[in-house]
Amino acid sequence: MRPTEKIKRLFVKSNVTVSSEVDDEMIRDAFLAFKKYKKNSAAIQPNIWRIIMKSRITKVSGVAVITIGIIGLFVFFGNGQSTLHSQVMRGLESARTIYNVVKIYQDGKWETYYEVLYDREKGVREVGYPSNRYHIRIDDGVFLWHYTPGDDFVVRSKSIGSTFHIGHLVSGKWPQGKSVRNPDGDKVVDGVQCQMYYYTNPENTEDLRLWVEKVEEKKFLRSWESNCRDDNGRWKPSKKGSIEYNMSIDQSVFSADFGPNVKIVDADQILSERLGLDNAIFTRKIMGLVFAVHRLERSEDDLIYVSCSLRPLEESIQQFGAIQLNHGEKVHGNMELFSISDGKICFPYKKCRLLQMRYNGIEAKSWILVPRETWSRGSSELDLGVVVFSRDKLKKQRIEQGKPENREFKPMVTLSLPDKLTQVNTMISYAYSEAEMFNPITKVYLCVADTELHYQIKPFNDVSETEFMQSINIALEQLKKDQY
Amino acid sequence: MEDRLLVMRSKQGSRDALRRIYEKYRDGLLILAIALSGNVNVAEDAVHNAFVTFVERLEKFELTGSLKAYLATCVANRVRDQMRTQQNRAVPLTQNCSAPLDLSEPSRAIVCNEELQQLSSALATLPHEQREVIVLYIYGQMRFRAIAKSLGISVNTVKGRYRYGIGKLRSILDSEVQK
Repeated sequence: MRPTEKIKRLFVKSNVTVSSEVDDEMIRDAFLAFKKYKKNSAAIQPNIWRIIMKSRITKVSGVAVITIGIIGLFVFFGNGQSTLHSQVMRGLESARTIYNVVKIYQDGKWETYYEVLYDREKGVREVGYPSNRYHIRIDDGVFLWHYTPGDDFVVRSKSIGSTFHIGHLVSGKWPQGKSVRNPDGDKVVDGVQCQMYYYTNPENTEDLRLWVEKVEEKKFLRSWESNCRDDNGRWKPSKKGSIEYNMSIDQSVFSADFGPNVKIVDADQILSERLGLDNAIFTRKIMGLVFAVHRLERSEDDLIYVSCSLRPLEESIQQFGAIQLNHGEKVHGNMELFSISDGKICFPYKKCRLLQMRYNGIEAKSWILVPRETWSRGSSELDLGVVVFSRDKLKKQRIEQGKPENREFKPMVTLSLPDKLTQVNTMISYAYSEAEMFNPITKVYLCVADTELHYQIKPFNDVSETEFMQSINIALEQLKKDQY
Repeated sequence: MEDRLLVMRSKQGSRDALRRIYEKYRDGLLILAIALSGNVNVAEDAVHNAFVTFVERLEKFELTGSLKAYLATCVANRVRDQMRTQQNRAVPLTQNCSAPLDLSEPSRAIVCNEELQQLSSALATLPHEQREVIVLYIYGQMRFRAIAKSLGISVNTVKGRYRYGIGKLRSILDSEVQK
């Protein structure tokens, strides 16, 4: 053999196994460089203020994002506060570190709602208190860690910058309107003389007072308070916040150390293994979304197990914003399998839903399909009827563009059924184990049916595997008997 | 995903795309660096630095050829720089690629298989200049002209280094067979 070929063969057969620590270090440093790159890149981030005003809250740099988080309330105010807003933005943008505390008025007293520590170089730590789903979230630039005190696990996923702050403030109902400078309200906050600005919404049911420190062209938001009307029309305190800048922060707060007995649940790995598009049986882009089929099984009596997902395309995320901070409630679209449309049977199967969950804008569901009499026994193919619904901003855009907000596919795809037969109980067990796997990451719901086929959606934690198995078996038996 | 798309999305700010580039080329670049340096630590640092530099220069980066070849050249340059700095000489990996057994520092473990150790041993007998050309040509799948351009030398010099290096490897590999 020629030496060139031998060397080539050695190269081909050469292999390295790299520990995750080496990966973590390389990725962390690359992401730090990336953070600087993004900050410096005019093409990507022409102007933080401009990005915020356009409400394209996506994957921008940490500074930009935290500014939205802290005073996210401004973003949705409308048009009247550009000067104050931009000046406050500049102040936040220039900060090396930020400490933000938000309190909520409940039962006649102020309670800490959450606090945020931010270091431009190290990351962000957010602590939510009992009034706000007790939790700790740390984004160290490489990973986002989500820990609920008391749990024996911490969920790790890819860093999303500091975007997770956004959800809390913007999800609240904040007053809309134009700011008014009110010198009578000026006061000293933390030893600093501050100017007061006042907002109220057009209905005059909510207000917001802000105290800002003016430094050249920047303004540092130091404190804010909001009120709302109670049932009798009287003003009552609602929330308040205070922000400190450039203080010293112990770097250990950004370290994801949750104790020796806390195991790491790798959300990205679970997602990739169970719902990865790369290993999906089928994928199709529809209306700014991606529909995928991940698993297909058949039993001896032609029951079919199918699990599917729907998620926004990267372009949709860029356009409408990432959905990563809303505890799994929100999606850009959702889907349903169907066999009956407009009262007509389109496909020769009935369906029994097993589980559903949402995470980071991804919706996943699984079903067992029960053949109708018209089903050709031993058929090697399955026509999958799918209806896809657009939601939220995607839906709004489609309506504005005159496009249908939902689409029905009759069928979406014809799938080849596997030759290998799987027992029904194995299918149900698989759905349960999938729910168990996702449960630490997000809320997973199982569909439990009674003898009259009344479905109940129950959180995974409230359903044992035995109960699930029994209920689905009963449902399947009922579906087999059901003539419609 | 295609490299051009990954680069484009990285430039648009996608960390996911950047991570995928890293994951796609990590092993290959480490093998290349280990083959060039015969030293796991130098290889790790070289790949690390090359990747960080790639990210830092992303804004002005235009993918005109193969991303693999570009990254391979970056790593080769880093290995050369580091070996100059540390005045390292390549040594067979049987001495150096034992990181998995180094339990005192498990966090930096890079495990090389037997073929990589064999490859490194053979290449370690060559001068670095010849080794570099052979590795970039065979593993980086770069043309002599591209290698010459990246190293700032003439094509004839590249061809010469390759010819001498291969000739020497022939005798080494033949003698191994005879053993």
